[in-house]
Parts: sequence; structure tokens; C-alpha cells
Amino acid sequence: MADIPKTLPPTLRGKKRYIVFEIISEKKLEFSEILNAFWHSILNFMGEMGTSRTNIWFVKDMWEEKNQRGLIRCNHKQVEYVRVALALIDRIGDVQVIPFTLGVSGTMKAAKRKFFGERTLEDFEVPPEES
Amino acid sequence: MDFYDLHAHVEDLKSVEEIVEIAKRIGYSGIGLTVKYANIGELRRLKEKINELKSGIDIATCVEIDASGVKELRRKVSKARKLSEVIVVSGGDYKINRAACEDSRVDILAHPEYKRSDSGIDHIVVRAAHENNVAIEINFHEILETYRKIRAHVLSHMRRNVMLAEEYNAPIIITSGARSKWELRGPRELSSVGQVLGMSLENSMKSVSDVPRLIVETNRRKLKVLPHG
Repeated sequence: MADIPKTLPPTLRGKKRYIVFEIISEKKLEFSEILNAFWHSILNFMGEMGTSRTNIWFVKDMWEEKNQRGLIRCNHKQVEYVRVALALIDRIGDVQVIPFTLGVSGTMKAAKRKFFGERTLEDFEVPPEES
Repeated sequence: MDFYDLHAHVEDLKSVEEIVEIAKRIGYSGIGLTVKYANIGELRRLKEKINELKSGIDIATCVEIDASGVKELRRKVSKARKLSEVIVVSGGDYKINRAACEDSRVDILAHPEYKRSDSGIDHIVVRAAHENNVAIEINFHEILETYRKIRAHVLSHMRRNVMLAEEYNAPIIITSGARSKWELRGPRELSSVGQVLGMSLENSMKSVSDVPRLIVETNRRKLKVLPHG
């Protein structure tokens, strides 16, 4: 027997949403700086209990330093709270910032396709010719 | 959907371009640049600057009126009404809040709960706001600049104002209240603030799009018919 619990069946898993955000600032920022600022902001705004409900997760691999664009995963009912917590960040270190959300997706795949310009094989499929 | 933010202060005419540029980038199709009543002389230069600027978004001019008494408020409103497209009254004092809502020339009552230990408006004020079509403002700057205990109080006062305004069908408007370009926030974020304070998705989206757009459009139409001199 494995020492970790089995992955839950899809019907029992919590529903998720992926929030894509962008940060406008004069200086390019690193992932860790944004992570700290966001945790500080959400814990101040919602408290520990409220934050636990959001089931928040920062997706590190999706942080694009060039476009200053990133992805947050959260519970599907708490999207608006997370958005406000994000908007309440006004400075990171000494840098003044404007965080804003580009959109919300239901899957990571759709988020990548819509906001990160990722292509899959489906995008290159030739539509069937009409006769 | 056309999004508007009708409360962005310009302290310096040089900053106009930057503010407009960022507003465009975060998704606004119109912005109201606000000057204080004390600097009303700058309004003409601001309008010239807006005409020069080819920004691609709709720019309206707003005047924010500070008054210590009801008579002073009425005098200032009648002077500013012909000059600017939107009249914002800076609330905080109960008498001023009430006088502003009972005056149909006023468009927006800004932060009625400002520096108060209560929400600043009651059912009488809100009913008057509904009759005279004065929008009650939720100011994001108030939330952004406070923290901890004070922020909790500000949020609960705002929640009460939202509840009252929805009960009496008074218009609600959500603005950033930005003092500089770094305090601007996107329309969807401001709408989320409305939802967190108890508004429905539809109403909160209206209060960043339809409500401000109608204010600007109606006033422009009225100002056109107004005879000069």
C-alpha cells in the first residue's frame, strides 16, 4: 500500500478556477516578491479562515517574467474575493504596482491557450473542406 | 461593455497622459478626470489638454466640491454646474450628504462614510438620492489606504450603504478615487469590490459601466442646450 492517499475521483474534488493576472510596474518583479505580497494582502483582507476557504495556489511555472503575467488557482466560489485581495496590493517592496486580472478560466489548458499564447495540435488542424 | 471610472484625481496636468494611458490599458473606455473645486481655474486648461490628446478613449471632466455648510455647497454647485460634465460632492458630514442627495444638479455623492464612525447616510438620504438620481459612491481609495481595524469599519459602512441603496433603488457607482496613476484599478476588480460588499454580479457590473456612462451622456446633452452667458 502506498503511503499517500489516493487521488479523489473528479466528482469529489473541489471545483477550481484559474485567474490570470498581470502586474504593471516600472521595474520587472520576481515571482517570490509577488508571492509574498499576495499572501500578505489576502491574509490581511480575509483572515486565516477566509483564506483557507479560497483554497489558493500560485502556479509557479506559469509566471512569465517578460510579460509580468501569472496564474492563480482558487475555489470557484471565491474568485471575487481573490480578485479584490489582488487589487489591494499597492506596492511590492519599493515599487508601486497596479495588479489587474485578464480573465478567469475553468481549466489550465484554456487559460494557457487564451492568455499565454500556447498552441496545441488542435489549433493547427485544417478544417474539413466544404463541397 | 463600456467601462467608466469617474473619480481619478489629476493633481498635475503633466500626469494626464499617463493616467489616460494606464486607464486604456486596464480596460476602460472612458475616464473622468477630477479636479478639486479650489482649482476650478485649471478646468479650462485641462479641457484644452484633453482636446489636444488623441487617446482613443472618452474623457470627461469632473469637479469635486468640498463644502463646510449647505449654503456654501449650493453656491459652489451652481457655479460649477455650467463648467464641468460631472459634479462630485465630497461627503463625510451628514448635513452635506443630505443636501447633496436632495439636489438634482449633483451627480455623485463621494465617500459618504469618510472619516465617520457610522455609514453617513440613512433611509431618508437614500430615498432623496433615488428621487434626484444622485449616485452613492463606493470609493476604492478608502479601502486601499486604510488597514486592519479601520478598513474593517470602512467595509462594513460601505456594506450598509450598498444595502440601503439597493433597498431604495438609488444608483450606486464604484470608482477608484485614485490620487495618482498607481491607484487606478481595473473595472472588473472594482466590480468585484461591489460583489464582496453584497451586490449582485449584474448590479456591480452596471455600477462601473451603465451608471457612470449615463451620467456623462445626460450631462453632455444638457450642457449642449444650456445657453452661454
